[in-house]
Amino acid sequence: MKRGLFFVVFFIVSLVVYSQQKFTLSGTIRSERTGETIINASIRTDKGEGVASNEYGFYSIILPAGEYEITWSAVGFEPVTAGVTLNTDISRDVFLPDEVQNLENVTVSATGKGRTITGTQMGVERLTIKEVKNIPMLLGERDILKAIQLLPGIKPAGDGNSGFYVRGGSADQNLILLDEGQVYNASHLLGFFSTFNSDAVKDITVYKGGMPAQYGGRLSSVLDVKMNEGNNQNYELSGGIGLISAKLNLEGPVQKGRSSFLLSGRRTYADAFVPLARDTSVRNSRLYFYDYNAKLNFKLNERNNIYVSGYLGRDHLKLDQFGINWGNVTGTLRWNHIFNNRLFSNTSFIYSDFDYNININNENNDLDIYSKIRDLNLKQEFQWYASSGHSLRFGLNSIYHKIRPGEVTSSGTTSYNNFYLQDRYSWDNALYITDTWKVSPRLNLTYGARLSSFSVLGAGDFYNIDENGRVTDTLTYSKGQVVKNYLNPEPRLAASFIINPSTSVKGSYVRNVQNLHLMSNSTTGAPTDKWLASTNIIKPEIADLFSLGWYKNFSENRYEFSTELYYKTMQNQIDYRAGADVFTNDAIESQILFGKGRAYGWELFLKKRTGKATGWISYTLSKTERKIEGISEGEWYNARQDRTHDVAIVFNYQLGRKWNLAANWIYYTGDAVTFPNGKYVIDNQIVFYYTKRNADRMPAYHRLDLGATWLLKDREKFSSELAFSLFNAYGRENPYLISFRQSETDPSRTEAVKTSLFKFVPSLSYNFKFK
Amino acid sequence: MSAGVKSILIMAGLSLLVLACERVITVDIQKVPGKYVVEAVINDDSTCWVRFSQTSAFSDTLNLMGVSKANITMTEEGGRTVVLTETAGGRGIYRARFSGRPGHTYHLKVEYDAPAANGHTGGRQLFTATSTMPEKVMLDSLFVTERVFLGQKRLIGTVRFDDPPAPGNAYRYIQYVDGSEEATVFVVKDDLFNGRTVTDELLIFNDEYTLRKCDQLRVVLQCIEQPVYLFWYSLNQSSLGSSQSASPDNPASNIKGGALGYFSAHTVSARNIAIFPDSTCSYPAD
Repeated sequence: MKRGLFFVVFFIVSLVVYSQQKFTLSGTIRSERTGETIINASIRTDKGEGVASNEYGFYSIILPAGEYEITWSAVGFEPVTAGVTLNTDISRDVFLPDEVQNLENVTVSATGKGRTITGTQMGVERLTIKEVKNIPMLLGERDILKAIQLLPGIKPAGDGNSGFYVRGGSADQNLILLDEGQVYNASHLLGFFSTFNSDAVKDITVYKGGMPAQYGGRLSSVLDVKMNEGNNQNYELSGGIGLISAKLNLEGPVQKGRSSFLLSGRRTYADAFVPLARDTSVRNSRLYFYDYNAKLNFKLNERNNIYVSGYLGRDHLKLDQFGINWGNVTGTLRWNHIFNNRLFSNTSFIYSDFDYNININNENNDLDIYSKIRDLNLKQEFQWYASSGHSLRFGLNSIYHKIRPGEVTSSGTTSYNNFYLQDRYSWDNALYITDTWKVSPRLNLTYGARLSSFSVLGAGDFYNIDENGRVTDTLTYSKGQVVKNYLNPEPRLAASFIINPSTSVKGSYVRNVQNLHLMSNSTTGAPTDKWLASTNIIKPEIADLFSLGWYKNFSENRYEFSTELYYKTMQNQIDYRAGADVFTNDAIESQILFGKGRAYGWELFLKKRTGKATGWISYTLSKTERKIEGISEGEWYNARQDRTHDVAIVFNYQLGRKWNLAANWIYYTGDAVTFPNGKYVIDNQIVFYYTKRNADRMPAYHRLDLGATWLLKDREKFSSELAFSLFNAYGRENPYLISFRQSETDPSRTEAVKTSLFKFVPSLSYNFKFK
Repeated sequence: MSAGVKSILIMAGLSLLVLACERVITVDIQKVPGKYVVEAVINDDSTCWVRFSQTSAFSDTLNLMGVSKANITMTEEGGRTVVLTETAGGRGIYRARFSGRPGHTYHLKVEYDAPAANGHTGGRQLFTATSTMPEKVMLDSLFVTERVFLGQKRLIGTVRFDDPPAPGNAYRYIQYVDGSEEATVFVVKDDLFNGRTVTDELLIFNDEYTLRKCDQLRVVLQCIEQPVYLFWYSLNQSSLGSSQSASPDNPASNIKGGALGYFSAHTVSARNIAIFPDSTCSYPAD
């Protein structure tokens, strides 16, 4: 397997060295107003060559000597065009001005502004905060995780929920990164809000297929969120107050033009009124969450940039004698180094941590349960713009995971003993290389591989189990001893064929391997869901995804259309055994079942990018199933997130300068659920009889949301706005859950009861900015 | 305990969502052939009892379909075999005068010649199960704890007993108020309290439930074995019709031969109290 990777490297190098003498135009693209680097900006020549800036705003394009007219452009910015005479290597940093807000007179230029459809990357969706900003959301809380759910192939985990499923995968199969740090639980308040404060976020990219080789570790998707860097030109103070939370954001230069900082905080404030409550029980209750984001960046010189960023978020929930709190911490230290105009390097050291703590405290019982997962992560990546035909990315990634599954402590004066599940250690390594090769003017190819190695480490006891889940043998390992090593090559292949400048077809194949598995048995996901690393028994999950797509820009790039087909197979999928107890069981393998999965679908997406009216329509037709020995008699059954049809319509209209109106409508087939087929009596209580897993359907889900943003003031130094929204505007009672019980009026009858959550939920929020 | 954690999350979630509404709806339920259910108990207090029934269809108003004319026997390992006889009423209840002893293993055998009905082709059915009665633990005391839960002051039945030093014990509590059984399934294992004096509150996750002054409270402590614990635990998690569980399923059964249900050999120890009794309480003379 290692030899395979060496072969790929050798092949790439032999292709690359065979290139003629040319010159390089390189530099960094930034916003003129804030000095922030711009991700994925486009650099195009009048002769049709083009590249995009990387995640640090760096670009490099290699061209034959000559006269060029170069256009630098990006979504939300005015393009800059300049003539360049290329007879030597040129370094050119570019500052793009903000897009002029003159919507009465929208002109669409055919060059620059259209999306690039020539690249090989498929299955990717990018959103900027500007696009997310006006989408009406539950309780007016802007949420990037809910915005991406409106894209094809990405489905919400439930009504008002920020969890999501991508192309038939489960919620834990999404790699969620915030400035490269992994966020293990990206939701607040039982999933209704995400951990991302949209004021601190700069760019969101979702890969639902064809993940580039620098990403790995999850089967279904990568959600790469980049934080703002902070304005290095001027101080800005912005904030907002909504129905559930208040936010404040401060940014500005440390040294103008060279370094900047960003501090951003969000907190729910409903509990501020709690001390006023007369009821002692309410006064002793807690229900709040907060998020803090901070970032510092220093431009040491033209070639070196340092970034330090951090995130801290936590939920606190306390009801009477019970309390639970949970949260994530991530920290990233990054060093960008430009070796020369063709070689860019990034070194990151990343810390990430998720933990929860449960308390039960009264005179009869006191108990404290603590669990955490912590990563120490080192990434080294090189981007080498080797020739006009080849650009390479290669690097390595090394993560040390420590999981504390559960630690129970008690004062010792009440009923409980201290109890401790063994800590689990693992070392997760990967080497990767990819080459993007312009084979011909019409054909681009990206090929490469990721070689992942996952070492399960001691100290600890590991188990052998039989098919009934009974422990047959206990194996004891010492500290640092390798229990098991899983080596997996993950080939990545993508090709695009350009039919004409506005039409292309693409195909890709990607294999992903996942070694951390989330065990969940609740419909919406809970902070106490358990992360497990692969062990001698729990094998890495493997997914192979094939996709094929057709892309078209038309009406002078005002409209974008794309359609993709995908087929995915999944190995080593995990589910609980009936009655599994994972809280106090060290031999967790004895509580779970293994099987496989498959998913396939067809996605359609039509987007109008410019003009007074913008928006998109997305439609997905899909199927996702699992086959696990011990569930549904070992036959294929629907995964819970199997939804046949999924539609989202997002509409936005700019009415004059002051008003922005928005609406979205969502429809999807009801979730696959398990209804009882019969009933019986156990100990004077009705118990339900179940046959097949997920063979029934919830009623279809649909909903209309409306929103309006009123720009109150827009001066040079100060702006403010009021945002209104109405969630579920026609009051559809969408089922949150369906439960079964004996009728209260006629106890001999069994009835189904639908619980619905949100209808006609209005919201109002006020946002301001001092510049 | 994990049930408690789950419930608090659910409760917190739902209390946040004051806009939640409930509505009775009709859902499409697939008809399937019935399945046999064996519920069998032997305890150390002269109870040897089996209820043999079949599942009924979801829409049936008859919830308990007792099965008559089965041959049911109970055998103490290395001891005698008794035949359980059917009681009148057609509710599928069979009994014998027989008492179990802690530390002994019991074998249950249910034989039935089924006619073709309820989606079955008929024919001989055989269900067997084995259960070992754990050593007896006495319910030391029963009292009432006053606790605020979900913003309401409640009276909660509280038990105290001494868990033996050896690990592996499991318990079930059953609460009766004025003679009627409360449906909540309370089961615990000694994973977290092995060898300690255990004080446990019988907290009922219901918006309004509370014990009241004058109530006559009775709690039975059963010492159950691990497979029986698993049955009750999984029943509580995923078989009672709440769809908070992503995977509703039948409880883990220790009955062999394809029936639902359980066979439990357990010890019983009970306590009775009247809650804050005074002259204002009136109790039926007995």
